[in-house]
Amino acid sequence: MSSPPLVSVVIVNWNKKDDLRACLESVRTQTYKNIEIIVVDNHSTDGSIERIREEFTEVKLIVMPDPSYGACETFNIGFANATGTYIVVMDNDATLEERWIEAAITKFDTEDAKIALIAPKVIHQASGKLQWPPKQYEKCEHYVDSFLGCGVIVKKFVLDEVGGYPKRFFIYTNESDLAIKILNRGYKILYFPQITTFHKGMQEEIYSMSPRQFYYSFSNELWVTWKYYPFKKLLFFTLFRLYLFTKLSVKKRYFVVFFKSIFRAILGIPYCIRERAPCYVEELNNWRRK
Amino acid sequence: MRVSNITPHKQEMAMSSTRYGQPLVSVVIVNWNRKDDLKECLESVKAQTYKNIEIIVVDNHSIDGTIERIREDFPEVKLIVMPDSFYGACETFNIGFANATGKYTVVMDNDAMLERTWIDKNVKEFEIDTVLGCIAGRVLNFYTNEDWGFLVYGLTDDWVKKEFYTTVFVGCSAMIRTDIFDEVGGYPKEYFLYHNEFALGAKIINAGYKIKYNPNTKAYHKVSQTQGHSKKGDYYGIRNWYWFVWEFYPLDLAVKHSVIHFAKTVHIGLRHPYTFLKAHFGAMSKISGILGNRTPLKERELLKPVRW
Repeated sequence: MSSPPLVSVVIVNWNKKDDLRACLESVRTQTYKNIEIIVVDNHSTDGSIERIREEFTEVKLIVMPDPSYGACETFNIGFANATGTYIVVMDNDATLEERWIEAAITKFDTEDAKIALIAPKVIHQASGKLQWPPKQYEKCEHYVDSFLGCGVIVKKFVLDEVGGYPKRFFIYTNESDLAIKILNRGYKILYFPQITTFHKGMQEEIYSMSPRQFYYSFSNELWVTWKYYPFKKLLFFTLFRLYLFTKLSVKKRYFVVFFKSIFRAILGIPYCIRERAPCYVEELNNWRRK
Repeated sequence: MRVSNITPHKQEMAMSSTRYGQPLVSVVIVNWNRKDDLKECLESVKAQTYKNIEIIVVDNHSIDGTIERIREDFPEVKLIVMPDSFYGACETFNIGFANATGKYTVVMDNDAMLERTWIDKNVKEFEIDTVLGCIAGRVLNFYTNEDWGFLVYGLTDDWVKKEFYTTVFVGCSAMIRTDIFDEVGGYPKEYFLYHNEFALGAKIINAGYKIKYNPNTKAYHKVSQTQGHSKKGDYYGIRNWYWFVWEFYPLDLAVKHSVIHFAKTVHIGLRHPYTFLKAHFGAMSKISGILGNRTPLKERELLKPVRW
């Protein structure tokens, strides 16, 4: 039997050294052994860098020269330096259960070769509540059109083909964009409920958005709609998102952020037209049972 | 004398990485699609008499096989690959600096080579002189063996063999104290390329360190035979020089050098009026910000060797 393929774990960190330690420990204790770990550090000042160099000497650390880089960009730098056949994309505040990588690799081997990405169940660590996917889809395997980027595994060659996260998004909703790019190339994304990622950050419900998250999410979601939705769905989903975010901004009193975000979205229209690639796969907004 | 700003962990790091009684030296090289030049460059670093060296290569997404070659032929190199080629030299160098763990960092171009004792000699200079922030030596044209480096900066022949303090260094081979990057922050990202060494040099001086020209070390640079004037190069060259003199020169010199620069580049304006105008607009667009943080160099003496 040939040796198991190399798996690269890519983690982005910024000033969360304790979460990062738990995260790295969970990667270290995986039952799967052929792993390389890449941490891209967005210029932490809390001692993360020194801790990694001392305690986790096996980690390939890349330090950014200043903290102005977005999550999309730093993840892309991590992807570019990964040499494995598979890449585990991970947040620094997430942990994996022991058999996570092993189970995912076995799943890749036994399933359809068209599956490019496996998204596990995500559970909020403190409360034990389900964060992803939505409750009604929890039980069985589905082909899906998005994922939560706090701990998924993807084939490296697909990532090279589609080019990683969209740099312009900076942060948030970047997973949706990447997911649709993957679907557009004819690959599939599988929700696999047998493995679980535990996630610390983010509340269990979407309505607890911070202004910063609101600002990026709103315009990024509009961009995803404009870039990928066929004309038939485009108008409806644009209005739908406007409605959702208007409601939210009224509830949270985010009026200034609302207009700033709309303005950002409008500035990005030429970008959306330039990159437009309508997606006609049936999973889009309509998850299919396998 | 200047009080050292080294943070405790950095000091510890520098001490723990001392081998053979030598402090660690990081060599930072930026590369884009020049695997054969890079190979010669790396070999010249490996052949150094100084042994405690780490090499960091930041690759701007080469597609000529550089990445594979480094991984195979130079496994000791710490390689950082960029996800696309849109990063400027300033930014990729800064990423290299941020990953350097040595006490001193050698800044190097991928088409440069060092003589075998280069690092050894320069480290000795640093160990003697505690206010030294940066040191650069002679740079010869690889093909003709003529002095090239400081002539590019406007030095006359009689300066080339002298030792002196200055405000600039040649970016294709220089050694800088690594903790300076924490203090002044590397190359200015907004320059993208060209004249970034001038700006960093001025920041080093303003932080209270010195820059020395060491005539006893030699590096070789493969000076491009067809040094073409690309429009992009003209654009950055014109724009960045204004930014530099406005931010770092005493007022009278800033005015004088702006006028001289305009007169010198007018011929580019005749050939490429659009580029010329765009560069001036680019320069003007940041004028308020730059004049706002003006930190002019105080020691006019240091500006002397560079004629420009």
